[in-house]
Formats: sequence, structure tokens, C-alpha cells
Amino acid sequence: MLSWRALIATTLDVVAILSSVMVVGLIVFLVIARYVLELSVVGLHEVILLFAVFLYMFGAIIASKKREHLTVDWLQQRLVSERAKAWHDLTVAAISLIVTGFFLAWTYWMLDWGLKRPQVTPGLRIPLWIPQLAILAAAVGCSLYALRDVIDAIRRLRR
Amino acid sequence: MEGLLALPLLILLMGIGVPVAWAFAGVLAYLTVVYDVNLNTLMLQGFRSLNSVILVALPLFVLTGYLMQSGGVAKRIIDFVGRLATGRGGMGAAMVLSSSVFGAISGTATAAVASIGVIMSGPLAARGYPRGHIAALLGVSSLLGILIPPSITMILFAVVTRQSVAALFASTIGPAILLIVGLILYNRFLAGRVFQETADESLTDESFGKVFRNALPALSLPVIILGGIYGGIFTPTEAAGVAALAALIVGAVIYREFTLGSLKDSVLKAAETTGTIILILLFSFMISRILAAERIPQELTEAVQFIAGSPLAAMLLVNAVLIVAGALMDDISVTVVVAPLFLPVMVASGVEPVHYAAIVACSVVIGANSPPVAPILFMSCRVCKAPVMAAVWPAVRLMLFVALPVMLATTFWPDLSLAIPRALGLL
Repeated sequence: MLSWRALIATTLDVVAILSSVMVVGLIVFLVIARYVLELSVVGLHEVILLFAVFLYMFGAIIASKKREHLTVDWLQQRLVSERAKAWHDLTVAAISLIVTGFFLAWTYWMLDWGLKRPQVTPGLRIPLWIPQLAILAAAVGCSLYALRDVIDAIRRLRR
Repeated sequence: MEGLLALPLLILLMGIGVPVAWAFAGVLAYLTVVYDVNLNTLMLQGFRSLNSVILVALPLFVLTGYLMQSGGVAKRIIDFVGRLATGRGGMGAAMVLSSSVFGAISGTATAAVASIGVIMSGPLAARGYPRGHIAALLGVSSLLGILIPPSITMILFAVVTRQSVAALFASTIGPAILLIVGLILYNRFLAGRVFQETADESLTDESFGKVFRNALPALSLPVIILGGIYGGIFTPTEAAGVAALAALIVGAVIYREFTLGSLKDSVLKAAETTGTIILILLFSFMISRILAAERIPQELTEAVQFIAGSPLAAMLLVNAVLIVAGALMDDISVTVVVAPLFLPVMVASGVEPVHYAAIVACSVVIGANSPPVAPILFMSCRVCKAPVMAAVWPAVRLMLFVALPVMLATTFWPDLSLAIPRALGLL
């Protein structure tokens, strides 16, 4: 039986891998279709972009999960005491949590606005809320991992 | 005026260690409050900018880099180049040339640092190269990855400034050749003078013929990518997709070094790296739109022209700003936010956008190795097992004697960056 943490990790990995495979596969198919099959596949770019947005956003969630977001760690490397490090981690995590809250709000407003005025892609008429949902997933996921980091930092300070 | 405070705020947030993506989002939040932006459509604008076919080349070139690393492509390239570069400073030259070939496939510096550093730092140290010098040389030469096409930095700059990716790719070839020659000559000058080079350890015992045969599939990758783009066969995005597939086939079928686990790791690492870059890009798109709507780039242009007094001084001032920004921020932030802000200044000084892109790329080479931030130099130190302080002075010397002259040559000799795009009919 998978724990919920493992289930989330597996889901993130599966979406990221599937999106990567689809993006590479469809682009190679596009080239083959043009040069070998002499076909012009209408709307294929729209499908590629759809998977690409999922790849971008689930990649961002995985980076948050692993605390691998690009960071300038100059100050962090100069802190010596464990307590100072814990305070620093709490400050950074708290700022990140506030900012990801903004990210979440902006994304919610985008989806809300978009659902009231439905938009589709020009070729295959794919509703735009589908790729936008990936951005919402990233906003939710990154906010939750920022919250996890705040809780971790508070626990370390209490020790 | 409030808009210009965004830059110090960004540096402050990044300086205290807030992840770069969230530092950008923080600045965006500040700007939305200051300028009373319509929040309903804010993210929609960011999404539209993200929804770009050109940008899809980014994850694919990142993936290619990771696949090269885990599929044994990097090792074959290094073995082959190591055989070619002999004589005084030969193995240092091999590191520079390996970075060049690596750059002609992946377009990133980090994959080159990890692959080449792991394989070459031990043999270089055994030959008497000081660890600090190895780390510094690797740090600077790995940045050839962003000068030699394909380049992720140039893809980002092209997307943000709406320039032709193929033209920007071609604009950095001249500066890249100059940097390669400079690094090799500088390393040759040091070998035998600053440190003694011995011929103790070679990278491989195999014959040259076998090394060449082994490297041939790996060496065919840059031909496929660059030949495809400039031969008009692929768009840069299609070339990136084909490169990823080719790296997969070469690693899996020819070298047989992939396991299911290593393949999965490569794909996930590439997704993760892409995710970190894309969030920065998403927020930077929205920041740029707000700044443009508030005419901040125009105000900045007027201020720089007033301070500098002449186009020449304005170009020098922008060069200085890019270098300082590179020392304080990461390369992506410089490329997508700081550099585009100064594009109008440079255009007003008579610099073409494609020429400016080459200047920006050169500034990234310096910035990514300049403390206090110096992400590539610090990564190189970790990979090469060199103390940071031992690498700082060698890196500063490399910058002063090689990278900075290349940047100045690129700035004041436009043909260095414009001749190749013109010859290819891209301008």
C-alpha cells in the first residue's frame, strides 16, 4: 500500500515523464510527418504546447518537493550556528509561502476569468483551461511545499 | 521611480536566499500593488508568453544534456578530444575543447560541469594542475555551452525580446571561437610557469582509431543539430527534439549505458531543471509587461544616455551593469530581466539587438563565475573537489585576461557577432 507521500511523488513523476515523452515524440513525429510522410499535421503544435505546459509546471512542483529551486545560497553558506540556520530557513520559507499565496491567487483569478469567457486553441479547439489547470496545480503544489518548509523550520527552531 | 526599486528588491530577496522564482514573484507582487495592475488578466498574459513553440526547445535541450551525461556520450567526447589535444597545456586544452563540443549539443553549462568535471578533474590534478585552476578553467569553459549554439540563454533572450533564435545562436559563434582560443592560450601560458605539468595519467589506454570510432556517434550529434538548423531542415525546437531522441538512441543502442533507472532520473532531472527556469521566466514575462506599460525601459534609456553622455560610454556602462548584475544574480535573471531592460539603451547607441544578445551571452560567462553568487564556479569547485577560495583568484585572472577582453571585443567589434548571422542570411 502506497503512502500518500509516495502516491504524490509517483503521480508527479508519472506526469513529468509522460509529458516529456509526448513532447519529444510529437516533435519527432512532426519532423517525420513533414519529410517522410509529406504531411502537414494541423494543430500538432497545440498538442505539443499542451504537454509542454504540463512538463514545465510539474517540473516546478518536483523542484519544490526536492527543494531544488534555483537559490543564491551565499548567505546560507556563511551561517555557522544551527539556530541561525533555522531562523534563516524560517524567514526564507515564510517569504516563499507568502509569495506562493500570491501565485495561487493570480492563477485562480486567471482561471475564473477564463471560465467566464471560454477560450480555445485555433486549430484543434482545445479549451485553454486545460493547460491553465497545470499552472493551478503548480501554484497549489508549490504553496503546499512552501508550507511544509515553514513547518519544518519551526520544528527545527523548537528543538 | 517605484518601478526601478524592483531591481534592488529582487537582489535583496535573492540575496537572503529566497528561491529565485519566488524572488521574482515577490517583485511582481510589489509591482502589482505599486501600479494597480488588473489582476484578472495578469497571469493570463504570463500564460500566453509561456505558450510558445520556441520555448519548447528549452526542456528538450536540457533533456539532451542529461541524456548525454548518463548515456556515455560525454565520456566518448572527452576521450576523443583528450587524444587530439597534446603538448604543453594539452589536457587543459582538452577540457576547453570538450566543453565546446558538449556545448554544441546541450546548450547548458551545468551538464558540462558535471560530466567533464567528474571525468577530467582527477587526471588533470594527477598531471600537476592545481585544483583551483582546474575548477576555474572548467567554470569558464563550461560557459562555452551558452555561446556555442544551441544555447538555452539565447533561447530565453530570443523569447523575451522577440528576436530570431537562429540569428541569436549564430551571433555567439565568433565570441565563442575567441574565448576557446583565449582559454587554450592562457592555459598553455600557465602550464610550465605557474604549475608544472607531468604526463602521468591518460584518460584512456585505447588506440586512437578505437577512440575515434567510439566517439563518432557522439560527434555526429552536433552535426545533426547545427546542420539541421542552419541547413533549413529543422526549426530550433525540432532540432532540440531530434537531438534528445538521437542522444537517447546513441546512449541506449550504440553505447548501451542506459538503465531504466538512469533514463528515468535523466528525464526527471530535466523536468525539474526546466520547471525552475520556467517559473522564473513566467514571472519575468509579467514583470517586463508591467515595466513596459509604465515606460520604465524608456526612462532607463534616457537616464543612461544622460549619465553616459555618448553612445560609447553608454555601451561601456551597460557592459559594467551586466557584469555587476551577473555577480549579484543568477544568469537566467540577468538574461530575462536585466538585459532586456537595457535593450532600448543599446539600440539607441547603435547596437543591433542580435549584437546585443552576443554581448549579454559574454556577460553571462563572466557573471556566472563572479563571486559572490558565481553559481557555475561554485558548482565546478564541488565537482572538482577544489576549495572555493583556491578557485576564486584563478577565476578572476581568467576573467580579467580572457573573458573580459572577449566581451569588450564583442561589444566594440560588431562584425565578430554579426558576420556569421549575415553570412547565413539571418539578418
